[in-house]
Amino acid sequence: MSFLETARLALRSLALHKFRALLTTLGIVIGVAAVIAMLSISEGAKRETLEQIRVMGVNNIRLRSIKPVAADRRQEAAQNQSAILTYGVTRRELDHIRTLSKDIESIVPMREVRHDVWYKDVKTDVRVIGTSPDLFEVLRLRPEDGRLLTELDEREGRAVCVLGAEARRKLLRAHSWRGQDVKVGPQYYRVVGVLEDKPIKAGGSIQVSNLNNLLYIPYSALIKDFGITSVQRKSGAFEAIRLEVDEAIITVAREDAILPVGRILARALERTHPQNDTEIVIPLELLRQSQRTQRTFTIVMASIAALSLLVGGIGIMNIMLANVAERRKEIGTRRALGAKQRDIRRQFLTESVVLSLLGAVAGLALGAGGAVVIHMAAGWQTVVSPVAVGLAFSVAAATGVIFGTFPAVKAAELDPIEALRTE
Amino acid sequence: MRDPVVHLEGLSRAYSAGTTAAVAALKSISLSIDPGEYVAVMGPSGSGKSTLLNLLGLLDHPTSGSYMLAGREVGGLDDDERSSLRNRYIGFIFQSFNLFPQLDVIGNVEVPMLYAGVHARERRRKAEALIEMVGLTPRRHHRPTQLSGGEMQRVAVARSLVNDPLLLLADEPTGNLDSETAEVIAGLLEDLHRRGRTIVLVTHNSELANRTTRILRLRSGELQRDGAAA
Repeated sequence: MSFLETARLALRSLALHKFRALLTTLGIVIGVAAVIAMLSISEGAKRETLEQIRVMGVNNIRLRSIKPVAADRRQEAAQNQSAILTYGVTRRELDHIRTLSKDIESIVPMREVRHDVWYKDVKTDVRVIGTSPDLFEVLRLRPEDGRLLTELDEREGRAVCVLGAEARRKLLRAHSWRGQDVKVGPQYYRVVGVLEDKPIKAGGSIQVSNLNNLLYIPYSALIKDFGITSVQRKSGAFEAIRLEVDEAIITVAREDAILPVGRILARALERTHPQNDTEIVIPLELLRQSQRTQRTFTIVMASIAALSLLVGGIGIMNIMLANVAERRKEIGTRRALGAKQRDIRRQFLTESVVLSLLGAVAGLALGAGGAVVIHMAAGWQTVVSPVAVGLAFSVAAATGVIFGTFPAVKAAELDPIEALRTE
Repeated sequence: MRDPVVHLEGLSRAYSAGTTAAVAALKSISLSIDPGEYVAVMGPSGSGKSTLLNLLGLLDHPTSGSYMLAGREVGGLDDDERSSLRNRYIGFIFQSFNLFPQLDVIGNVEVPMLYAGVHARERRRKAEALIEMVGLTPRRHHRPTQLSGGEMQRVAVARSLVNDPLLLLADEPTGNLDSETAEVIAGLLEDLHRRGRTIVLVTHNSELANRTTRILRLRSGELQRDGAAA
């Protein structure tokens, strides 16, 4: 009897008690769903982290300015007798940091300008940052057409800009970028180049969350045109802040120097910024942290999956034993018609494997559906990988074999005469 | 002269009932059944009819004595060998039909061929030919639950014949049928006998027994009478 025929017989036999089969597989369904959901979430999380880190660059350290919380601010304002809030990293500090370690390759400052961006009479939500030419190299942003910002632009504070792919679409639509000027607040900037689409979002950084939706101008032009003090209307009141750098990317020459440089930075900032208005983000550290979190998550979910598969397996064993007891006459008849012990064993083993594989199919659907729901509800990236599907099916098949063997052996060892005598 | 289909020499079967002395179900039976014979086994309950049928069908082991099936001693065979002899040489018909509820008529008839490793197309062809013979072609896709008792037994007869057995064993084949359908089954068996099939039939029904060519009467495990049907 071929495997296919045995499997078909198993399906037909199970079809005689559909509801019972359904209930029996529930444990497997939940176990497999847990495995699939777990693996797709952790795979998604892994990819997301890797993407973030790839965008940020593993060899980079990010230094961010953080606006002090309200309570500290009032205190400070009272002390300074000033309505202007000053915080964050300064250019002088960055120059100083550069001297602290010879492993630091470059330091790229970024400062956002909070003004609307116009092209002719079209207003967009494109965001503007002033930065140094090194940024494009550090973030691997490539020009699609035209050129990038240069050292000369920076030195002379030229009113030029480079557009991210999305910013270009929003501003220029189908127009050519050549010779166009875009307006940031009151200032005009000549477009000198457009960037390739960066297919991934740079998570982690609030200021520059989407590299495609940015307009890049020279840092010096930003200082010249807008200064470092900006005024924002906030809940009815005006708020003036003085901030030199939103964020700086510090590139480190060697990977094993990242953590030492990070420590040097932390010590330096501790002295000059006791009020915690700066933050150091080390992607490498994030990577390790997320790996640790993921390991814990995987262990927890794997335990749940193992537990429900165990329960599911016991359910299968239970129902298969009932099956064997109920179908003694069938077994006896098959033996009389020439079935060998191994034929009977195979028949019942196949039945339990088919049962658990059916559970696996349902569990796969449930788990994949669950992953989609989690993606929509929590916004986590989820990926149902072929490896996960293969793993779930093998685990389910193994459960069927492990818990189906005992009932199948019992069936095969029945004495045919005894079995035939059952009514 | 061809070998007898069945040749028994001093065949005995005793069951050990716990620690007490063994109970003899069959005591030193010797007989031969030639090809083409139509034999009825009769006797009261507990006379050893079923034991004899189980021994003939290779479902049971004798305690002592010899059983030659088609000239071959089957005493020392292991379970697998006995299974394949059952499959190839013996056809079973049961009192309560013993059809498989998960399979349709064709599927039921095909089962012995599955264990014989017959190819799917050949299986189909043979099953359909036998279903035609028992007159159930219009019902070949029905499940057993959709059939009457007589129809179920006809399916069982077809199933018993698919591997072209040397010996057909029928255990009270009409026991669960009303007289009208019993007559159909009896006619079917007679028909098979006329075509040269060797049949051994266990029955309480003397009318059915009288239509055979030879009657074995058992009492308390012994062969009391062996003679031509009345």
